[in-house]
Amino acid sequence: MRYEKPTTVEAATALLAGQGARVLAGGTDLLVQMRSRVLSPDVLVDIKGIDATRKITKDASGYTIGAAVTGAELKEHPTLSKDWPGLVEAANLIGSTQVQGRCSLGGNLCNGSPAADSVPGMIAAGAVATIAGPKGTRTLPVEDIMLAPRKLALTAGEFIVSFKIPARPAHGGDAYLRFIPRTEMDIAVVGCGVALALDAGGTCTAARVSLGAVAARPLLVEDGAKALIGTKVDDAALAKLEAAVRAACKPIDDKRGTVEFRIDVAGTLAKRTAKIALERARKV
Amino acid sequence: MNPQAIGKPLTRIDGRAKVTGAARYAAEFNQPNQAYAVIVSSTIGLGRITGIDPAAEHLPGVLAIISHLNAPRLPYNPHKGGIDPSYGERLHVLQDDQVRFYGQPVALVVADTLVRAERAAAALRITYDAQHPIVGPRDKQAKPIAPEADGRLEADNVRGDPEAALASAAVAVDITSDIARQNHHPMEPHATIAAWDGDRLTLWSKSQFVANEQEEIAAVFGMAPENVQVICPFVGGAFGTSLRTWPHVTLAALAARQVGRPVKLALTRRQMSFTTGHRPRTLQRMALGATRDGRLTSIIHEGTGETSRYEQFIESLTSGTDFMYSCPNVRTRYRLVPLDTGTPTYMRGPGEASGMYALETALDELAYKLGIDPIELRRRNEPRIDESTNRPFSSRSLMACYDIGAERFGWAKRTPEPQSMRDGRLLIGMGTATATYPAMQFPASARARLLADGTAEIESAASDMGPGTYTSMTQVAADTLGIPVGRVRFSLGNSDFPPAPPHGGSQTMAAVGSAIRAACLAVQDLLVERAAANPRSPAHNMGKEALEWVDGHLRRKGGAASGQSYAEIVGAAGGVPVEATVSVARDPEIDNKYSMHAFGAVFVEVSVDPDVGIARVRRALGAYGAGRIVNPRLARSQCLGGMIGGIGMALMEHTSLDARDGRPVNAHMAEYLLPVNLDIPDLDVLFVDEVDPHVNPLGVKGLGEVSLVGMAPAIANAVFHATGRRIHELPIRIEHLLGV
Repeated sequence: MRYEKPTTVEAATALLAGQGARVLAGGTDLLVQMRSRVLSPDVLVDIKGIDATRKITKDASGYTIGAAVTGAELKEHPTLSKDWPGLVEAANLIGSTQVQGRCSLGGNLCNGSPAADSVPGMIAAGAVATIAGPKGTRTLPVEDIMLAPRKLALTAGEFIVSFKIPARPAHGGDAYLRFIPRTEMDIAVVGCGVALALDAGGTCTAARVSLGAVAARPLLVEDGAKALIGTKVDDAALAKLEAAVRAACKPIDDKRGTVEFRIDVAGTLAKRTAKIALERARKV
Repeated sequence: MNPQAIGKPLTRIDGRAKVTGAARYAAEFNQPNQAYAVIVSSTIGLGRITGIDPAAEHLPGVLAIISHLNAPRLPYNPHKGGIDPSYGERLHVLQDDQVRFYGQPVALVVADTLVRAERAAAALRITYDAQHPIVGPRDKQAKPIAPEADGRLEADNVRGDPEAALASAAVAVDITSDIARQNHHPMEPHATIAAWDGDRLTLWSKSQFVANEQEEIAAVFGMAPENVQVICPFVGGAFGTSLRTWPHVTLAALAARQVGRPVKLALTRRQMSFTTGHRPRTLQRMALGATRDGRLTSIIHEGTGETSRYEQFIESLTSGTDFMYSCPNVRTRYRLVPLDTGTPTYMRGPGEASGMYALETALDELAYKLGIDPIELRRRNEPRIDESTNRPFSSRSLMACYDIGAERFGWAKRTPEPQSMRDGRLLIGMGTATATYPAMQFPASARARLLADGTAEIESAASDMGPGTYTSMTQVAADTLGIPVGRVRFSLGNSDFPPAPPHGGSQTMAAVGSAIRAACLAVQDLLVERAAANPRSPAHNMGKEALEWVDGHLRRKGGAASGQSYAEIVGAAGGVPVEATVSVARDPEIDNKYSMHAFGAVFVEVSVDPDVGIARVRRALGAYGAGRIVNPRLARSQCLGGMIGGIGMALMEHTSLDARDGRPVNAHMAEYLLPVNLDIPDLDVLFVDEVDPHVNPLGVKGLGEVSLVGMAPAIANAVFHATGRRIHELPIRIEHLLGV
């Protein structure tokens, strides 16, 4: 096995185009899988030497967050938690304090688990990935990147350099909740992200609803957003949201939860998440 | 004895060593020129090995690949230690091509570094002829059997006519329950470093029972026990998994002999799910009959535990039922289901933890049917004597536990109706249950040595897996000798020391403490003799009767002089240390005279979120009557640990097996759920001031197990109170509580 730490995007894509190459960001999933021999890459391409993967920049259009920026760095950023608290909270649920010093949005997405906590948070926030590859750079909404467990819409040589998060709307708020059997340090049985924007009168003008761990891939639930847009996010709207979310779930039975339970809890969780997002939108 | 240290909340004597890393655990005794062994575990659940591709032998650094194809035939002489199943024969490792359970060691790779050993182990190709294993006691092909008569416990007991009494009972409950298999999963994995010096073998090996490990390995290799030394000064948690000596110890010793170098072998977390025992899954039926005013007229307890095909693991599943409550008609019956799995073993509160779940949840159910407060129901059935043996209890403070526990917990605030208490959208429930565990005491021995500087060295092959043996034994020695704890050095965890019983069964304080006390008294007698023989001693020519020990000084009874100190007596005889080694066994007459148990009352408050079905323990209190409390600080800490174990048993812990091949699907800490810090609420521990003059000279009963027993039923009872839903399965899962 070879370890490489390129400092340019071009060098990284060239290395990643080779056989058996894997991207190393924080390594909190990859190294564990290598240790248990689930994965045995020939080349580890550490992207943390590339400046763009390691920084957060902010301009009028929003934030650009490097794919290898750690959970701890997201939390410490002076304004990100004020603008997108749900996204940061979702990312901060990954692992323990120690893991937070390493884990990243890019890694959490590209590990390809439907239960990844930060992914519904990113989808709700409308995050778009900037992907570098041998043929240049392209962008793709986060909800289109993971196709199935361990299967991504990236081709040979491609990797995610950063994520573009839009500027928070004037009266906008987001939230992420997950359900786990114990109180911390666990894998989501259901995860839900909601971001919404209100007009001056408190009517919802835009919304995005996303779910994790209830299907083979994280979901953007368009019908959930429709249930909220044009309403005051009242009980009737929340009931429609609950129904839309339950209809969107296509979970499996596994040792962490049954199909019935996941569908049931997803609806409950979506209502709770939407209420938190609403509170946040009203306060700004 | 004038207690100065006993009863004081001393901090751990070994605390600084533990937090600074100075305490050395088994895997840290690295030896020069040490090689590393990695176990290759079977990937089928039943069948035979048909081939092992030797290509991995040529990988870099590989010193040996050992399997049944090339392993020496080991003598495996008969040996059954106090913790081995008495019926059946232990697993003989790498001796034939048979695979008896998933994860059985089938080969051993030894290399010069751990990484190279792991790489070769991963590359080793093994082919199998696989059969379908039966791994669940509810499987149609699983057949219950009666345990063999030479098992250690009386399995079936009956008094009166419980069936007739149940049929005619005014009120009855009849419930069945299913408690999941659990693994111990202590923080420290099993590890052994083995080093041979000619015919002598030294094992630095994680063990709660070094004396047994010495004898077991001597028997396996056909050696004299004195040629095997087992060293284990520190244990990073064990809960029973390090009582038996499991195959990895044999494999480490075998590997070291084969490659002619010291060998280190540590189990992976995954391997700790299938080769080092587990709490057996249990299926139980509990039927209770009672009069309208709540007097029990019938108890029928039928319990079934899993075991392996090659050994009968027996635990005291039904024992508590025999004597817990006053009832003229009681039947207990115990069966085993042999399965294609490794042999289960003792796990904290073995037997009682599962059996009392059945009894105490049934009693709670009965309380609701009768409309009687659960504590009052227990009070009405409180026995005067142990009705299974007709012996009095040496002491029994159960009702005192309920009284002080209910008072502190605020039981009076509980409204009896299910679903009657709320906190916002959360349903709140309060539950209670009885805990019990026998006060055991196996023979133990200890050595006390007085040095010329007046300090004492105490040695016993005991263990400290966390309860604070180092500290509490030092307190016993200090008070017996009448010197400060700072002048006592206690050493344990070495098979060269006088043998001690298993560090399990909540008996270390009783057994080893009694031995240490006796050794200290014996060394005092020797010092009296020495002083009496010394013409310059004030005690010259005086008999023991005329002398007394006061604060570490020997003086004439009633005399005004301060007398001679230990240093003076030892120094006057040329400074040669004086030592005594003493073995102590409980007077067998005591067992015939008294029924001896610790008791406790456990109180739990849970919240249940009705929208998502999650139950959380909000607070819990355990009140215990366990004889004299030697160190209240450590006793409290030990009880907190037991209560946390009970939370795990009730709400989280479950080793889940794939029915196709017996593979544990959650063989790692990410998915074998244990309570983490945020799951642990406000816990409180109370002790009844219990004086038991019969149980042993120290008057101690032990706390390790009783503190786990009772927690799971109290939680289940609280969940019922919160939701009106009775769950007869552990752990209680979210799915059980949906739609409450």
